[in-house]
Amino acid sequence: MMSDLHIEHRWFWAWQDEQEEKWLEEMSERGFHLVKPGFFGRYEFRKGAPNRYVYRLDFLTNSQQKKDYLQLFADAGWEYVGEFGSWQYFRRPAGEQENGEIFTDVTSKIAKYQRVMFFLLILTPVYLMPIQFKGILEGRYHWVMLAFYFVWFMALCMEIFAMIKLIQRINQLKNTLKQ
Amino acid sequence: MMTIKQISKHLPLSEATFFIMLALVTPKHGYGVMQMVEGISKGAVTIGPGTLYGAFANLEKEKLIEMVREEGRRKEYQLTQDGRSLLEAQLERLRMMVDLGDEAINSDKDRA
Repeated sequence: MMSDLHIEHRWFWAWQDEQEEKWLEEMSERGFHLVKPGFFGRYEFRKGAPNRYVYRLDFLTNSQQKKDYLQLFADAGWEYVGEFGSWQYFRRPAGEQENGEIFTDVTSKIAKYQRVMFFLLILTPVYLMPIQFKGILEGRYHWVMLAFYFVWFMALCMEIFAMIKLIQRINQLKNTLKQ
Repeated sequence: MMTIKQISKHLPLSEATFFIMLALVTPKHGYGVMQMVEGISKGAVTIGPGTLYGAFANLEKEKLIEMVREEGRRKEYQLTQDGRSLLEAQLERLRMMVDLGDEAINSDKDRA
């Protein structure tokens, strides 16, 4: 029934995946179960009986192997909820006997954030492209171009910020390895 | 074939990698590996699907395991000759560590 659907808008950054998982778990406890993970922060939920789930997110960049990737998660007892970009959303009922983690060591957790960082690095040349327009314009900056540069600059700042945050997250995890 | 130097580059293996390679002495698909590792370690070691998928990708890239069969959506992998050599090198190192450990602990006992 359409009336069971509930839309919620919420934005999580790439390094806030654990907060996102926790939020989805809290939503399920209130009876809102994720149906479709968000297009830029738009989440579709279905109202049902409250249930305790464990939600986990992975970042998959090698999508040619998606079929056996999803099969492996399914075999291990994880329900595939969907994806947003490269982010893959899984859940399983909480309190099952089996291990409730998709990553069981620190190295593979770090590797996940490294995949996110690599993805951001690939995006960089796209951000650098406007520099080529500079030569074409030869110093005559139209306000449209200025606006364009401004957007580009903001995107670049956000990317650098995201990189710093991800490196911090990786370092946190590396410190747990040393202990 | 890998040289001794190339093999030792991979040593020591992480706990997850060690158990995954141990399971792949005979062909297995991903979930088969997870089950076997949990079984032989009596539940002490569990490997999540995210960790396993990453490990498979790395091991295949390093040509330490190879796909031997495809059954529907499940791919079966097995150790390559290089993978086997690496696993043997790891066992050798572990044996040495156990021997040295025993020796040190026991000599300490004798003194006391």
